[in-house]
Amino acid sequence: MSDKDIDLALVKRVQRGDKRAFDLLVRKYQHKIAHLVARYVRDTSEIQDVSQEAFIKAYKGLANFRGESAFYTWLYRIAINTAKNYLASQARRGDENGVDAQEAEQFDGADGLREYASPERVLLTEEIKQTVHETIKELPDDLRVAISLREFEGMSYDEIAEAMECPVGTVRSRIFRAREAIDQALKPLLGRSEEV
Amino acid sequence: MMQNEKFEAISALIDGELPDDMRDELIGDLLKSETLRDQWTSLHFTREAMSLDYVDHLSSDFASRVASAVDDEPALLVSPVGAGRPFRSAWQKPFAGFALAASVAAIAVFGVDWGQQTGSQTGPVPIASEPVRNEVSDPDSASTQLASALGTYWSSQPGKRDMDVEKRLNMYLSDHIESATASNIQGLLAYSKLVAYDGER
Repeated sequence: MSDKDIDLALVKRVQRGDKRAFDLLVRKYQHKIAHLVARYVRDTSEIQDVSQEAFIKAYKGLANFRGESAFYTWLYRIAINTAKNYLASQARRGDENGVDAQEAEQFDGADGLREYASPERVLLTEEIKQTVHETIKELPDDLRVAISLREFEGMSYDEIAEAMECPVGTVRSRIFRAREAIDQALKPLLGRSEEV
Repeated sequence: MMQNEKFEAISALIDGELPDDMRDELIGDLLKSETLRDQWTSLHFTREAMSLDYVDHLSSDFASRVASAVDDEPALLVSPVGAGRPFRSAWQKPFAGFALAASVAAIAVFGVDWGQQTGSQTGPVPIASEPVRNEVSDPDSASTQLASALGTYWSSQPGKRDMDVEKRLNMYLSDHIESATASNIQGLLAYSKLVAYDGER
């Protein structure tokens, strides 16, 4: 079952009136959408507002979503349009704080964003990355190899099981335990995320 | 399932590695339990944080802010994605099969012998209504005119191609009658009798 299938299962539940299913989609894609919006919008609070607006538009638009494209592709387009509309409205008001839409299209990854994110956000991002890196380094070998093959090499559980010469169930368990260790290490930083 | 096992299952779910039969049940559990939803959030965040281009932009209450805003909106009640498809495919398949079989039969029965007619005539009426000419220059056309006067499609002196066509048609009808008998259906039996009658005349 692919990511698309999971999204589609959740979308069907939203369309049947279950708002909690939409909450799962928000939790899943919030960082990706914020990352996308941040290409267009400079201010952190505005990134959050525009991202929220994109999700609300998506929720309303789900009534007409027919699954012709993947949910994330569809959400991605909504987020870009929302960010562009935001820039247009800022331009009409003579506000120069936003990033030019054309300029935003040329950003690629975090390097371009560093020019625009606040120093506190940049610092927090660095701390999160450092914590992830160090936690992975300190993991027992079997967990470290399993999570690395999954996240960095993009291998399936079957492929990892073959490479590590162990059952698929063991791979599943190792990947989960590695993620849990990383999650525990990140928790103190996430508390700070609200203050920044 | 113990809670830790559910957490592990969520980890497999986000990797797309959970068996289909467990997926719906787990999604149902996720929707019911705030603890499981938090685990869903944490695991997705962990994955994001491991990606090279991760940048922290959101406060940790972002999802709950969106949820509050969504709560102010009316719940959606529309036909879920793909709701009409199983029905469509259920009737499309036999219909397509029937249409294909009918087309093949039509081509085999009609397509081949209409080619023997002249011009755009496709039925017996125009041929039968043509005046019979007396001046005849070759025997084939004479026999054709006679046949036309009798209201039939078949030349009384068919050429080699006509023989082939008749042979193929007879083989087709014989096969059809055999299979129709075996399947206990009528099929084109009545039509084969009509052809036999035409030949007898």
